[in-house]
Amino acid sequence: MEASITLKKVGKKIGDRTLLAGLTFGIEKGTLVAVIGDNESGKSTLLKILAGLDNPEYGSVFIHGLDTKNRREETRMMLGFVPHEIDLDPWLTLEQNIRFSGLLFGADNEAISKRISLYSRALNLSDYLHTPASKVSPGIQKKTMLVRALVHDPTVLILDEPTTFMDTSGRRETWELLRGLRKKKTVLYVSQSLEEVEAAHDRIIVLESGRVLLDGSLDRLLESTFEYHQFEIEFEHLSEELYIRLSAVAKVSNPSRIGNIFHFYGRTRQVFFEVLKLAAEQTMTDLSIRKLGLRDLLDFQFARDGLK
Amino acid sequence: MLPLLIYTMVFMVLNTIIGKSVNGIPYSEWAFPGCIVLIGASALMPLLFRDFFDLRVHGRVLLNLTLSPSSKTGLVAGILLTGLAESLVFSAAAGGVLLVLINTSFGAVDFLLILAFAAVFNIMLGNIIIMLSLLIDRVSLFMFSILALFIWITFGSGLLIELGYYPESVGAVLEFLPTALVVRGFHSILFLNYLDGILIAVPILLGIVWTFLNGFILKRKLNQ
Repeated sequence: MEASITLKKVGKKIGDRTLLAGLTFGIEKGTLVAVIGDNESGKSTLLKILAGLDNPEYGSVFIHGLDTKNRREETRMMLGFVPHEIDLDPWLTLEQNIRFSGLLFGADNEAISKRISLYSRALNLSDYLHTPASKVSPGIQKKTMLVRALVHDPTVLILDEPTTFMDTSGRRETWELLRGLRKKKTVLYVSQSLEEVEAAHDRIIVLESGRVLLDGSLDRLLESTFEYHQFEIEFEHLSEELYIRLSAVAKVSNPSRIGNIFHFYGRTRQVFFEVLKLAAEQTMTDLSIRKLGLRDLLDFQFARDGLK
Repeated sequence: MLPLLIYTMVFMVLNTIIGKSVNGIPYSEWAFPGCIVLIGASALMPLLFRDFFDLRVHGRVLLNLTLSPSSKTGLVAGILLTGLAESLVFSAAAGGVLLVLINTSFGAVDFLLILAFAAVFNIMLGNIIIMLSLLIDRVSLFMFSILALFIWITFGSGLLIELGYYPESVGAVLEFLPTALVVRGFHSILFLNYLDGILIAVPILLGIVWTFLNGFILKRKLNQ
C-alpha cells in the first residue's frame, strides 16, 4: 500500500535530552493510526514535526512522497492539524474561525461553506457556528478545531488528543466522523484514552523515550502478552514467609506485593488455583483475574522486559 | 472619544502654549496631520498587540496561522495591511470630527494626503510593534516598551512638537530617525508644497525591508 507519511531517521534533542531518537516508519494511506506512550515519550514532538510546527534536528519527513523541508507549501496543503490546546481566536465566531483558516489555505468560499455544513452537522455543531469562540465550552471549541482542520480538505490529519474536553456524546460523534474518514484520509492521532484507542485504530504505535517500543494492530500487540493474565489475591495478613512460598510456585511470573495484596502474572488459570491451594489456610478478602490489555503494554517495565 | 480627547489635550492646551510653528504656521493647522496619524497609531497598536503578542503568547492562534502554506512574511504583511486598513478608517472618521471642531484650511486632497501620511507612518510604526510583540514574551516588559514607544512617537518624531524646539544636538539626531523622516516629508508637501521624494521613499522602503525582517523573526521565533 502507498505510504502517506514516511519518517526517515527523524531525531530531535533538547540539550542532552533526546525527544525523538531517529524514528523510521511509514504510515499507509487511508489508515487510522494511534500513537500512545507515557508523558515525555515524544508523542507531541512527533506530531509537531509532522504538522510542520517544529523541525527535526536530523532526518526527513515525507508526506505522500514529498519532503516537508523542501516542498513545504505543497505538503502543508495536504495536512490538517488539531493541537491539544484550544487555539481558536476568541473574538471570532466558530464559523469565522473555520472560514478564515480555509481561506488561508486557498479554498474557495463555496467549498468552505459545503464542508462547514457537512462536518458541523456530523459533529452536532451547527447551532453554535455563529457564537464567538470565547462563549462556547472547550468541548465545542475542540470540535470546531477538527472542522477547521478539515475545511481545506487535507489528505492527512494529525490530531493531538482529538476528544479532549468533550462529553460522551461529543466523543462518540467525533470518533464516528473519524472512522467515516478512514480510507479517504490518513489519520494519525495521539490519545491518553486507551479505551478510545482500543476502539478506533488500524495500527498502534507505542513510543517510549523517543523510540518506537511497539508497533502493530492491537491483536498483534497483545500477542506479545502470550495470553497472560494478571492475578491479585488480597489476604487479611500476607506474611513474608507466605509471600516467598507463593512466589516460588512454578509458572508464577513477576510476583510482587503491595501491602497484603499478592500480585502475579500467569498464562493459565491453573496456576491461580495452585496458588489458592497453597494459601488456603490464610483468610483471603478479595480476588481478581484480568486478561492483559493495552494498558499493561504501556506499563514501561512490562513493555520493556516482558514477563520473566 | 479619541478625537475629543485629542482636541482637548492638544488643540486647547498646546495651541495656547505653542501658538505657531517655527515657520509661522498656526499650531492647530500644523498639528492636525500629526493628530490624525496618532489616532491611526492608537487604533493600530491594540490590533497588532492582539495578533502578534496576545494571540501568540496566550492564545496560540498565531501558531495555527503559520501552518498555512503562506510564507511568514506574507502572514506578517497580511496582518499589518489589515490592521493598517482598519486604522485608516479610524483616522478618516476622527479626522472628520476634528475638522468640525477646529478651523483649518485643509481641502479634500490635503485630507487624502494626510491619510497617505498616516499609512506610511503606521507601516513603520506597525513593524516596530510587530517586532516588539515577537521578541518579547512578558506582558509587563511589552507594556513598558509600548509606553516608551508611544512617548517617543508622540514627542520625538515631530508629530505634535516640532523638532526645532529641541536642543540642536538632540533635534539633529531625532530628525533622521525613520518616523521623523516621514513626518518631515509629509509636512513639507502639506505646508511648503514641496515633495522631497527621498524623505517619503526611504521610510516606505524601510517598511518593506522591516516586514521581511519580521517575517524572518517570526520564522525563527516559532522554530519553523
